[in-house]
Amino acid sequence: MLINLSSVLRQSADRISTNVIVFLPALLAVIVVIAITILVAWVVRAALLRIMRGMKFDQRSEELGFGQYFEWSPSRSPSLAIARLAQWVIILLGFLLALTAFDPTLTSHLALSLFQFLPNLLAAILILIVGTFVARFIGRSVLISAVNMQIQSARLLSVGVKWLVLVMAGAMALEHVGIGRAILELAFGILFGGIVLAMALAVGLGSKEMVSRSWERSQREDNKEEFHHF
Amino acid sequence: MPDSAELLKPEKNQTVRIEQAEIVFGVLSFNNAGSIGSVLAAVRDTLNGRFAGVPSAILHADSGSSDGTVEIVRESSGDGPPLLVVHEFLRHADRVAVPYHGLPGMSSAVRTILETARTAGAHACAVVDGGRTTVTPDGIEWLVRPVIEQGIDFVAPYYQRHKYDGALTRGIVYPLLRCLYGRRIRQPIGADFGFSRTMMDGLLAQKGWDQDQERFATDVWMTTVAASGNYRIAEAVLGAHIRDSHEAAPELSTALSQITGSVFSEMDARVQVWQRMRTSERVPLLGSYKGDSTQPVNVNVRRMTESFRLGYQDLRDLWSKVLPPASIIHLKRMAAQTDQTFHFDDDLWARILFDFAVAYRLRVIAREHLLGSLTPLYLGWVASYVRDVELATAAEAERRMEHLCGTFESLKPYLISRWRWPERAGQ
Repeated sequence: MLINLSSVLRQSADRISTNVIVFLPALLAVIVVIAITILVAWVVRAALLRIMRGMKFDQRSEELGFGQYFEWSPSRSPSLAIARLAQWVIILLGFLLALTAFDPTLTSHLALSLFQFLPNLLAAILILIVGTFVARFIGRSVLISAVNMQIQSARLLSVGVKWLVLVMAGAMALEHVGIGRAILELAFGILFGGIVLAMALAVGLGSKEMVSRSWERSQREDNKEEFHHF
Repeated sequence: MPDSAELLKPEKNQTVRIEQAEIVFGVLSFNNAGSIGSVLAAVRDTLNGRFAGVPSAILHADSGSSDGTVEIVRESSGDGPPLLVVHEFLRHADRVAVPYHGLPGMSSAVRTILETARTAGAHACAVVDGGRTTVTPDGIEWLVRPVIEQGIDFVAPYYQRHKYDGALTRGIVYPLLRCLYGRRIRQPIGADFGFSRTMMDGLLAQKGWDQDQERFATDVWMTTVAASGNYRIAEAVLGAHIRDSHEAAPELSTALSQITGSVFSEMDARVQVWQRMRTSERVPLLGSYKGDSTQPVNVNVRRMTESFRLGYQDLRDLWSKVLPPASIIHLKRMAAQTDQTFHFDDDLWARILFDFAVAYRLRVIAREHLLGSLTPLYLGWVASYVRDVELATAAEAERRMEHLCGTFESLKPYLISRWRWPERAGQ
């Protein structure tokens, strides 16, 4: 009995030590690959930044009207945003490469799943980017028009419209990647409907008198005004 | 010249053709049933009485009136030159996008009139606003007489107006065009102009006819072409500027965007011309000038200052992308002023317009946003101007305008510097 137990324990210990011996070099390889990847990514980022700054890429982008597309990035610098993107793509690729040290088939499985998921992910990212851009543009248009119409709560109106578009874009993006479809539809319906209803109530009931007073005042002033701008 | 009036109606897409004419008058209209009869009568009287014996023709270009304007023209009769009615000159773009200032399709109408006049071999051509109720033979004679007798190429209108009227012209278009192109054309916004053969050729050779900004502000654009070219220019006194009262007033913000957009767009296209120009010269004023209107005009200054303050409160962040910090600090101080002490410095106003022109060129923000955000600033300037000239005589108001234009001209090096080195803003 004791002999059997000892034999089983020895075999387990052997297996563990064998696994550790197999695992340690792989871990070392992963660390080395990731370290090299980070170094390469950093070099690529620095080189890209240097080249683009030499080309006055930020200034040229502004002149060509592309500057506004990079306003979402913290630094608002197109060259920095592109350099950061390149850096993270290299780190991601290096990480996938490093995983082959443990299991050569793991990366191909991961890559296969990733490529199956990629179109939806890309579409969702595109929807988010376009949605953000459209939300900013429409929000700003509403703000300017409301100010020119002398609506006191112009900023509130603009923020409301901007978030409506953002919520819609977010919901469409999540729908695309298949996250919480049923809950999302329900939540979006409630949220969107709620916002529209709240706005309708605010204008239709809550501010009825205010709107009518303001309208009357504006009409009175318009009638009195004899000023010709042209 | 035929003995009696002819009435022709060309079919769709048919080329308008007049055999031969020395003078061609084009009358523009859009729902002007109330005034078109008297305008046509004035044009006929001018041609019959003051240019008798000179082969001439009248072209009526209507932009799709639905109030019977065209029928009134068809039924109108009178001795004199042939009258040609054109309806189908509007291009698709004119029907889709109606300008908020001026006549719809004015660009196509003027182009058709100029092409017709050139084909007929005319030496002088004039366009007249069919919606103006104050058109007289005395006034419109001056649109063509200087062209025939003095070799003038372009006659711009000079309406006798109240010191408050035409604030957009006084505050933006006149000072900007004067400082840019060096010609003092007081009223570039209107629909009454005179052209020589050289000017017709020059205008018809331009590419701007089909471009949005130029199509929306044809009057400003044509004046810019004349002022920036080597043309002889004069102004004709045309009397008061009173239009058919049935027309709704154009929406200020959109019209302001279209007009300033046209000026800024031409700045980019004519940079070689305006950067060389250092001073400005007067242009001769022709006709009998009887002084500006002194009828009292109601102006709601409080509403304008409120609009400025609301603009500062909500559009400050947007303006910060366009204007240097010093200007924003100035605007902040102004927003804190009371209505009684509210004042907009000419220096600040000129710098703001120059900075907007540079931002328009560089597309710092979307152009429609940029031009839209100018309205509260403009209303702030108007409020300040109205307060300044409230008790002023016509001569004092004129001196006020001279001061403004002088400021624009003295700050032109700032504009050139910002244009050439935009990254140095705020230094």
